[in-house]
Amino acid sequence: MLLDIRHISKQFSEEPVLKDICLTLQENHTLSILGKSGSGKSTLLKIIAGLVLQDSGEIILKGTNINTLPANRRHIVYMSQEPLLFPHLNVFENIAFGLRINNEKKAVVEQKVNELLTSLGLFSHHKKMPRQLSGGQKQRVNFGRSLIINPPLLLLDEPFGNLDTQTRAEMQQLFKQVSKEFNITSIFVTHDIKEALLMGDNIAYMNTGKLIIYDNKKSFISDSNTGAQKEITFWQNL
Amino acid sequence: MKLLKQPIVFLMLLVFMMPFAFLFVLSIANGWKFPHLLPSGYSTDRWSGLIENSGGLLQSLQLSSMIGLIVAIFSTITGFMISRSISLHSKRKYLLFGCYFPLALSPVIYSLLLNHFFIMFNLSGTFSGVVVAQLIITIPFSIILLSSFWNENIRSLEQISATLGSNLRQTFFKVILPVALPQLLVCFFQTFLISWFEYGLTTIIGVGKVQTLTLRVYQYIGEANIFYAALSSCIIVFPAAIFLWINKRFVFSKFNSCY
Amino acid sequence: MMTLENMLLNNKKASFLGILCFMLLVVLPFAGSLIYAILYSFGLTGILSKGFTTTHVSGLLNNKEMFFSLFYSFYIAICSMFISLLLAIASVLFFKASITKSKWSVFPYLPLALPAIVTAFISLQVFNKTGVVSRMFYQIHIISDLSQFPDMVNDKLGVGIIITHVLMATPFFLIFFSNMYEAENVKALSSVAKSLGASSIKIAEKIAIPLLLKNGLNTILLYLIFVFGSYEIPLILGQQSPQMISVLIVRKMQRYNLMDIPQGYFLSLVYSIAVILLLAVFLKSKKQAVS
Repeated sequence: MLLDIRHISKQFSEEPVLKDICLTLQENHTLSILGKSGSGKSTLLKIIAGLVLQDSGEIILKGTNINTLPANRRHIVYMSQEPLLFPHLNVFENIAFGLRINNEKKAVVEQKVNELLTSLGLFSHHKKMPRQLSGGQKQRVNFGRSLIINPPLLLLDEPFGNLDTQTRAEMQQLFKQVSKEFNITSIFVTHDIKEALLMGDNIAYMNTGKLIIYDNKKSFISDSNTGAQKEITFWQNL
Repeated sequence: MKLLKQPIVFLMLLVFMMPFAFLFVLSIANGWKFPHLLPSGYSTDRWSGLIENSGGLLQSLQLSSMIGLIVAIFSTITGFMISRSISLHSKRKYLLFGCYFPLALSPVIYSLLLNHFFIMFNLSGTFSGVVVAQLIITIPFSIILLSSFWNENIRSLEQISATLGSNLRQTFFKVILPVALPQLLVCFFQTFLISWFEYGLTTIIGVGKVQTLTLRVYQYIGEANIFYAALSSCIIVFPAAIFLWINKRFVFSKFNSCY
Repeated sequence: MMTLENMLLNNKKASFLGILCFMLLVVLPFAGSLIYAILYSFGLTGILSKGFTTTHVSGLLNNKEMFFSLFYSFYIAICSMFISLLLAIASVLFFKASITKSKWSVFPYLPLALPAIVTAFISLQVFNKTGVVSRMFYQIHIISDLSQFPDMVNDKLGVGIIITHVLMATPFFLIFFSNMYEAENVKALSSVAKSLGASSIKIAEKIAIPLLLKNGLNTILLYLIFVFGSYEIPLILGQQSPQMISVLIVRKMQRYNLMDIPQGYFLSLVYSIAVILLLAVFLKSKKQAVS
C-alpha cells in the first residue's frame, strides 16, 4: 500500500470541509474522486500535498507518517486545474525545473527532458514560452514537469476541466498511456462522471466533506447519489 | 475629419517636444532680450562649466542621484516585503486603503507636519533626513504598486514549486523574484522619479542645506537667472525622459510578455 | 528539521514582521503628524504653548484667508481637471486611442518627464509679460507694448496655474484613457451601437464618455486631490492673495512670526481632513467596484 489516509478532518472558519476522510491507495493505481464544486476535493488533495494543514488525522506514505513533513519534502506533486507554468521559463526549463532544483547534472537533465518531450509530443515546442502554447500543450508541459521527478504520488485536481471536448479526450488518452508507461500512482479528482469512470482503477464519491469509496465501478453506478444512473438513462432515452 | 488627423497629430507631437527644445535652447542661450523670439547668441560654456562644478550643479546632480537611488532601492525592497505581508493578512483591504492616506497628502504639507520629529531626531537639514522623509512617501506608493503582484496565481506558483521539491529560498530566487522582476523594475523607476522630481519636501526637511537639482531650479528662478534654471531643468528632465523610455520600451513589454 | 508547522509559523512570523514595518513606516508617521498638529493647534505643545486654547483656531476661522484659500484651491483643481479631461477624452475619441499605439506612441509619455517645478518655470517663461507668447504677439503686431499683454501668470484668476496643470495632466490622462479605451473594448462597443443606428455624437455621449469617466473615476479623484494640494506650481505662478492651500500653509509655518505657526498647523489639519474626506469617497467607490 502506497498511501493510507486516516480520519482526516478540516474546517475553515467553523465550516467543516472534510469530515473523517479515510482512504487507501495501492501502488501503480489511480483513484478517481468524483465530486461537485465545493465538496472538499481540492482541500483533500492540498492536505495530502502538504500545502494545507489538516485539523486532525494522519497521512501515511509508504509506511511513514508524513503529517509534519513540509510540501517540498513529501515528493507528492500537485497538479491544479489551471496549468500554471512558470511564465519566465520556456517549455524545456519548465519541465527541467524539478531536476535543476535538485542540482542534477546538465547532461542528465538534457537527456531526461528530451525523452519526456518526445513522449508528450512537445519536442518541437521546447523553446516556446508558456504564453505561446495552447491549453492542451500547457497541460502536457504541466504533466512533464510533474513526471520528470518520478513522484511516488501524483495529485490531479480537475486537470482537464478547462479544455474543449476533443482536447480533453486526447489528454485523457495521454494520461492513461503515460500512467502505464511511468507506473504512476495518482489520485484524479473530477466533477465529470464519464472522466471519473475512465481515469480511475478505483472510484470514490465526495459529497459535503464525506468520502465514499466503491468496491467496483458497478456499485458506483448503482448508487443514485453519484448521478451515474441518471446520466445513463438520459443517453438511453435520447 | 480624417484629413485633419495628420496635422493635429503633428501639432500634438510638436507640443510634446516643445518644452525640451525650449529648455535646451535657453540653456545654451547668450541673452534673450525682449522682443526677440530667439536668443541673440549661443554658447556651450554653461554645459562645459557643469563638469567643473561651476554653480554647484554637478554636486546637486550627484546628490539627487544618490538620494534617488537609495530611496528607489529601499522603497522597492520594503514595499515588496510589506505588500506580501498585507496580501496574507485577513484585513488586507483596509491595510491597503491605509496606504492611500499618506500618499494623497501634499508632500510639502506632510513634511511640515513631520518636521518637528525630524528636528527631534537630528535629521533636519541632513542627507539622511531627506532620504527618510522621501521614503515615508515612496513606501506607501511601492506597497500599492506591488500589491497587485501577490495574487492567487503567484500563490499557486509557490505551491507548485514546493511540491516539485523547492524550499522557501529556492522558490523565492528561482520563481518569485524572476516573475516579479519587471514589476520591481517599474516600481524602482517610478520611486526614483518621485525622488528625482521632489522639491517641497526636500526644501522643508533639508532646510535648504540639501541642495538637490530641483532646489537649484527654484534658486535660479528666484535669482531671475533663467539660463541656469534652464540648464538645471535640462539635467533633471533628460535623464527622466530616458528612464521613462526604458521603462516603457523594455520593462513594460517584458512585464506584458510574461502574461 | 523544518516541519510543516514550523514553516507555517515562520510564514506567520514573516507576515507579522511585514505588518510591523507597515505600522512603523506608514501608519505611525501619518498618525503621529496629525496628532501633533492637533496638539499644536490647540496650544497643548509648541514653543508658545500655555495649555489648551482655541485662540489660534478662532483667529484663523474669523479671518477669511483660510476659506478663500480652500475655495481658491478647489477652483483651480476643478478648472484644471475639467479642461484636461475634456482635451484628453476628445483626443482619445478622435484618434480612437491609436496615438498611443502608433510609432509616435512614446511622445505622449515625454511630458511625464517634466516635474512640476520645471513645468512651472517653462510656463513662466512662455506666459509672462516678457515671455514667448508676448514676444510672438509683439512680432505680429497684436501688441505694441509690454503692458498691453494680459496677466497670465501671478494673476487673480490663476490662469497660469491652470494652464500649467492642464499641460501636466492632459498627457497623463491621454495615456490613461487611451489604455482604458483598449482595455474596455470601446471601439467594438461603438461598432455595436453604430449597427443599432447610433450617430457618432450619440455613441460618444451614451457609451464612450460615460464608460471612460466611470472607470476612470478613482484616478480622476486622486489627481484632483493632487492638484488641490499642489505646491511648486502656485509657488512660482501664483499671487500673494489668495494663495493655494499648500503655499499658504508653508508661508504660515515658515514665517518668523511664531503666532502664525499654530494657525499653520490647524490649516494643515483642515487640509488633511478635506483630503481624507475626498479619499473616503474614492475608497467607497473602489470598494463598490471590488465587491
